[in-house]
Amino acid sequence: MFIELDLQSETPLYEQLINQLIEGIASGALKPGDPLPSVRNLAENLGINLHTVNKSYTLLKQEGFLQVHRKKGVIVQPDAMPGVTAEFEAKLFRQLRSLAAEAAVRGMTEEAFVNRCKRLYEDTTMKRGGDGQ
Amino acid sequence: MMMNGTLIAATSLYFIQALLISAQNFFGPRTLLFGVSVPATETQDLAVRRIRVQYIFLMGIIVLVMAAACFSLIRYLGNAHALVYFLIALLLQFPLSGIAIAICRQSALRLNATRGWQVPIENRRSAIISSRRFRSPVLGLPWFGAHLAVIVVCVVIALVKWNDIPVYFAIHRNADRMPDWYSWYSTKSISSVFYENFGQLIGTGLFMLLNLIAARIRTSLDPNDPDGSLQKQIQYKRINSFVIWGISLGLTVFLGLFQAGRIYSFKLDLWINLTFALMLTAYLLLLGMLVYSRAKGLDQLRDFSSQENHHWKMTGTFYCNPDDPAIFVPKPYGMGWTVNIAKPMGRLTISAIVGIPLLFLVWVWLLSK
Repeated sequence: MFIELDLQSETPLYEQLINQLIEGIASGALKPGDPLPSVRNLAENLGINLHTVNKSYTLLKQEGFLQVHRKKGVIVQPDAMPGVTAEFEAKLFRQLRSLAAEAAVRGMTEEAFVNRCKRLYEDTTMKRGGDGQ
Repeated sequence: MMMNGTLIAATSLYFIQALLISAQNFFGPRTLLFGVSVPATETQDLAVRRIRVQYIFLMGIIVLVMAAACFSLIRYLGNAHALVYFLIALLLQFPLSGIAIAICRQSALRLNATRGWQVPIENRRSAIISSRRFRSPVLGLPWFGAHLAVIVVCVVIALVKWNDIPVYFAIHRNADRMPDWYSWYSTKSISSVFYENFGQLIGTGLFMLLNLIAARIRTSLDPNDPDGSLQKQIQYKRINSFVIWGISLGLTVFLGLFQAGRIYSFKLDLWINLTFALMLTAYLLLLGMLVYSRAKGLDQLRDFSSQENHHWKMTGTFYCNPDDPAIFVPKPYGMGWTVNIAKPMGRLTISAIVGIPLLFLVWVWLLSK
């Protein structure tokens, strides 16, 4: 699986990295127990600061998406992934609410909005069980 | 006067090395002119090509002047003395080619200023996150078992032949073939007999380290073709690793042969011929790597994180970017890597590269006192 960061994006680099790693897990490109590059290795390959990668890994570890293994280093959570927590519900509500409001203002119908959400969810999870590429 | 055969071998080696150094000019991304970014549409521009030719012209003058000076000096000298000058001429090629590069880089920078090239910087970065499909791009440590096997064979032969080794022999001789500053080591002992084996071990260790560095070099992927550039990076690293392994194995075998020649009967001409053979093999291997990499387009890979000109110091020799965690980065021209001097480990590496040979020279000087 490849990740791509945009240095000019308004989204902070650590957040772009978090989003792409979660997308990788959701699509099945990253499977439970898969090893991830070390902080130094990934930062060197991307040419970005070590602290940026470290921040992403730390946040994902705190959330329960990653685990630090004594021998394998950083790995994708091999056990159960974090469930739908109250914090996640709040985040989902906050982000969807503002998007729904903007969609309504821009004249998008409720049906179109729901369909887009549904298709995105399906696309993200469609590759589950793939070969990781 | 040097013997004809030796002179031909020495001259061939001198010009092959010059060819290898000059050929580097044509190695590397076409969009980089001595480290200066050139728009893809301008790579075949007459002024750009003229600067590349300028380098060949400068190198040609340097090589021929040095060859003429060297030849006039060694005309009436014996083999060993002549070889000292020859060795100096071989080593001088490197700093003098640096001067030629500096001149051409200045020309490239002037051309850049005149034309006002605005080469867009790639602001996307790509990396592989899952390594399940890819094995290590460099040769593994077991490959260096071949070196250890050669060392073991050398040691075993010396042990078996222990009684045949003369009680007195010189470890090193000067150009007059007289034992020099190592003369007190001339008595048969563990350190004098196994002298080269220590050298073999140190050399193997250093090349293993080099191989490890080759593995650790940043894998900079092209965001427009991450998979294709990844395959090329892996192939390029593997070729580098194979060349490192091949040259180090040749050196280990050479030291073993030198040891055998030294502890039984010292034959200077045999040693000279062996050195020529080893250096020639190494150069041909490097030249083969250049040609193969060029043919496969492996030299066109760019390091996207170090593409900005202002990060390159001292005519593009050193990279200085505190925001880049990489310690080793590809050189902006030619083959090989350079260090990021903004990092403490990079500065330490440079200090070691410069300091260790200096310490060695001081040690030799102290021994000779």
